[in-house]
Amino acid sequence: MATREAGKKMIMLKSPDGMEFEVEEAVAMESQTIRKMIEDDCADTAILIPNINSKILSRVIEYCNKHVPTTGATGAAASDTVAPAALAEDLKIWDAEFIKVNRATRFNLIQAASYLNIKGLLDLTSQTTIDTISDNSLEEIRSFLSTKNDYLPEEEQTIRRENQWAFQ
Amino acid sequence: MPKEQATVSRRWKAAPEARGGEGIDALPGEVLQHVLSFLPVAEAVQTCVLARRWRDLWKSMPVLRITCEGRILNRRGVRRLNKFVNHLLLLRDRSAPLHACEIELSTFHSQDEPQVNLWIRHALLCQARVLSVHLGRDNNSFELLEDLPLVSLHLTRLELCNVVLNDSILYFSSCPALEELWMRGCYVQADMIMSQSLKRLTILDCIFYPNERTRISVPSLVTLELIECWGRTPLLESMPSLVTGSIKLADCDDCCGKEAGGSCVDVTCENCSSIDDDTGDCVLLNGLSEAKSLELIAEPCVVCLHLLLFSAFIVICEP
Repeated sequence: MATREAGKKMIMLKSPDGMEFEVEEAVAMESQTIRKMIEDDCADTAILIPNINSKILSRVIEYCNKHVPTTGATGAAASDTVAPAALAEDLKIWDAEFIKVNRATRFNLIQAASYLNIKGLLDLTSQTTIDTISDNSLEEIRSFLSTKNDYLPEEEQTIRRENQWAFQ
Repeated sequence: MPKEQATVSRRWKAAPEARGGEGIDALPGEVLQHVLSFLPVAEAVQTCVLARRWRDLWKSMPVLRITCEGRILNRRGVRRLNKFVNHLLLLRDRSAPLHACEIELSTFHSQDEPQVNLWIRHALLCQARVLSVHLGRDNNSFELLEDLPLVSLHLTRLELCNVVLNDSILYFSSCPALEELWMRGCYVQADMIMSQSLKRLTILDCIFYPNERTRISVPSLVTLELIECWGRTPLLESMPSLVTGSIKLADCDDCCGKEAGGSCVDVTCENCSSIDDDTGDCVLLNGLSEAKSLELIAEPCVVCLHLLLFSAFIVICEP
């Protein structure tokens, strides 16, 4: 962590439930939404992140901390000593552990990643969700997604007929 | 953690309203569409029967993953695939932005062909920014792409795997936004790869068999990877913005027996004869001379003499 020492600009992120998180600006800027605010000079010393509670926000920050490129100011990558492939493999293993969360947390993370525009996290959470539901029956998918079937039976039949080409 | 009174910025756009509950339905529609696009597209369409809210979600998915999931397709399978994709593209909401179209087909044994060219043109008409075409390695699918240039003001990344590439398709004068070209296992018959805008070029395990030595004319290139290429080593034209180059020549045609201590029997050998590409005796280095970081690897008998790298095997590595 030698590359992240004193002199780094810090940003305060606040969740709606009153928690404050002090993070490096570079880490916060993993979120394209926050990046844009900082670049447009819309960000003051603290940024309120609406709709994302402290539990989820802390997980998001954890993700960004891990994924922020470890590049020094001179442009010399800290990864000079570590092969990029090994680094990517390490991140992949870390991601797999990170995403071992319950369903509700995962959906909250998807929403947070989407709102904060963090592509890596959104892709990770989406892919994991898809891996879970793929190859399951419709009822199992409904159950996993907690989606209630509000079609009338005849309505569902019509939809099926309409999209018959996708069910063959 | 400092606890000073912070000024809190409230200049956020309104956060999407949660729809209640802890299920996936709490997510806004556009997020659900993003999640859906990780499914093979047939399964994504099938989610229309989950519930009313899901009925039309598939129509606005930003990414289409057209795949036959590794299955070998017979004639019936190909017809079914064509029918499916044509329905998909016609019934999709054309006003919804299409970010990427990925086409992944494996082997098919059929006189009918998947209508890949039509799908590609449709995706480009829908202003797709990313296009990827992965075909199987067998002869049937290998030559599927027609020899026509791609036309798109929006395409930024193109990925091609296991396809035959003729002249027109690699001539990107009608793709002014293209920044990244990634090719693997392709059979390049083009005399030229040309793009004014390309910044990243990756060519892996490709075979070059053009009539003339392929010229790579990409003046804006920043990153070049030319790894394990076979046939005639392509000629690199000037790339003044190049920062990183990585070249690994495989058992290419630019080999000379004399380099390995034997004799050369290749009458077309450009090391022994005076055949000249009109390149100032240099195929690779002209284009690489501006690179900040450069890695060059070749097998011993590859003609790395005056033709490829001037008269010595040179590795340049500047800080």
